[in-house]
Amino acid sequence: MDVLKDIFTIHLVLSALRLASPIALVALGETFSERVGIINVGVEGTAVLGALISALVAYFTGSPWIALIAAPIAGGLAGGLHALWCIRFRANHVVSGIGINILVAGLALFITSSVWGWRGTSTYSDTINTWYITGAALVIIIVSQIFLFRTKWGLRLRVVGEKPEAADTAGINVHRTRYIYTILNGVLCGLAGAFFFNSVGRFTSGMVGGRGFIGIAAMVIGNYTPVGALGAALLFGFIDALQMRLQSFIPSQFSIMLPYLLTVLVLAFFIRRANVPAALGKHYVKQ
Amino acid sequence: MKRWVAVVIAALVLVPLVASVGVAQAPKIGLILATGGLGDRSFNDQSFKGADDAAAVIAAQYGVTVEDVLDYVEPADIAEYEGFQLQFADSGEYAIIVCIGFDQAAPLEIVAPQYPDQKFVIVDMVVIGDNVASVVTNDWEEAFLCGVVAGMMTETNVVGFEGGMEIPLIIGFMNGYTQGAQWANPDVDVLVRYVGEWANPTLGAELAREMYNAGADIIYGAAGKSHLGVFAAAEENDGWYALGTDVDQAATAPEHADVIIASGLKRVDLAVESEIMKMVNGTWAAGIFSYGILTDFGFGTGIAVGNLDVNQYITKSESEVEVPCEVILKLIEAANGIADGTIVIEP
Repeated sequence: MDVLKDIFTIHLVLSALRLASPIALVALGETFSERVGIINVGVEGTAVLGALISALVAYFTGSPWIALIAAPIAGGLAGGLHALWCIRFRANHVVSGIGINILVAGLALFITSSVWGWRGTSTYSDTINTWYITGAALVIIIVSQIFLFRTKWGLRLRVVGEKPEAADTAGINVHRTRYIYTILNGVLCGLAGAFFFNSVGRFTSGMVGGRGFIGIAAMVIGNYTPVGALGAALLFGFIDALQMRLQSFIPSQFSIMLPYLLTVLVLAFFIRRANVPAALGKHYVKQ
Repeated sequence: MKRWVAVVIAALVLVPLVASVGVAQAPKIGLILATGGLGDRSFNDQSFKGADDAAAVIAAQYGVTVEDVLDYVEPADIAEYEGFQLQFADSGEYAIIVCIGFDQAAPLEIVAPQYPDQKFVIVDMVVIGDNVASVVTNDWEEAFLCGVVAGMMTETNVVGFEGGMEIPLIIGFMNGYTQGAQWANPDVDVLVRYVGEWANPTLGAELAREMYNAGADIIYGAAGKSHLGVFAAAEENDGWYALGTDVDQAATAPEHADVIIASGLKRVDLAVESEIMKMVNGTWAAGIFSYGILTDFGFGTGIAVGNLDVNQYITKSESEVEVPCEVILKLIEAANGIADGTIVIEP
């Protein structure tokens, strides 16, 4: 019993919240973009970009608050690029997303080595407390849930992802809607990137470490709803925080595997009927 | 007429031949760095310094510039190692090719046998071959010395270790650290955690917070860039401290000099320089060479602590943390004990 008391403390909950925050932000962003029909696997790279730009702006301005504004803007630009590629030029969504991941990986090496002379790593800059970002994320998620299912704009964006022809007939600008929410996805991923930067005060190229992809998984587990995405992210964060504590009792190799294993298991066995938007990944060409 | 032609031909052949004999060729060094690249203020920079120091000696001997002697490449990806190794070996220009980093071992095992006359050095990993010298360091010695500092300076009698992955190299660090801490303070408990990633300081910080909250007040580790997260976490609370790894991290991460008590040292620079100078002196041989306190070389590991260079193992650090005199004395005792074999570390 004492062991359980040592493990299940307030610190476990706080740790789970911290670990879940960036995943929840990415999952929320992906929920928006997939709800309008755009798959974006570039979220991983977009989060890396957010962290990179945070470090860059914090380094040059000395202000972590300006950096906090710059990161979502940079993320939004990456989202815009993806939107342009997928909507205007009708590229394959997955290919474009992978392109963003590769582009950012290269950019990160280039910028870090030319600015700090340190490949893949920046120097230290002052940070803000990451709890601001976590708090903001929670608020944004709840607002998004209401927005998506209780407002006419939410309805419109869902229609664009389900049946763009119908949306078009009803006078909704399909392309504009898709642009807006794909950019919003980028903005949220950029914010997730800012979380990574502010957690340690520097950028390293491996610091997102697949959490962007986990965000996509969290979106699917959350069944394309903001609150569901938050729940899935919290589950992952909780298991990740728990495994750190379990390392006292079980081999680290198994322990570290647990959150990922759980994600795969949940995806495989518990997600029976995912609410996949009907027009997901399909280009809309006006007749 | 015929004789003139013969003389001219002879001159054309002989003059360059004689000229080339007159100026003996300086032996060239080929250096293939690890993927972190130059500017990491750690492994690569140190290796480069070692090669550069050796190149300077050679250059002075032969009256050429360092650039004539030392060629280096910075592979961006693990996949590039084999190409660079082949390219360097195939050119036949280099008296010795130095490969930095454990992940160059797999390609080197393929490349080295193809060029039996080419001398190779690999740092941080063992490759068996008649033309390969493998440089390893007794990492557990630096970890032991860090353990001594942690064991002496902990107020909670709990200290932490954060590894990148649970692999033999890192387990050696962990064992050295644990034994050092318990040698200095038999009552100490050591928490051991692994990040699972080498370049994720966010996760490194989270893991460190977990250990700090569980009562640890000093955390050491070997987790690459993930270890930077330990310093960031240590900043969050008074009384939380950290120890650096392989280089004086109070100097490489000066913003955290207020929480980094000391840093273990791995003198890759000395090891690389020593291997190249062995080649120059004609004493180079293939095999496995351990560098460290308890080795034939007598150098290769140490600790950066305090504000004085005490001896070749205990050198000064940029740390802003006050280290009591007893700790330094205990470290001298530990280093001497390791050197004369009275302290045996099980890696």
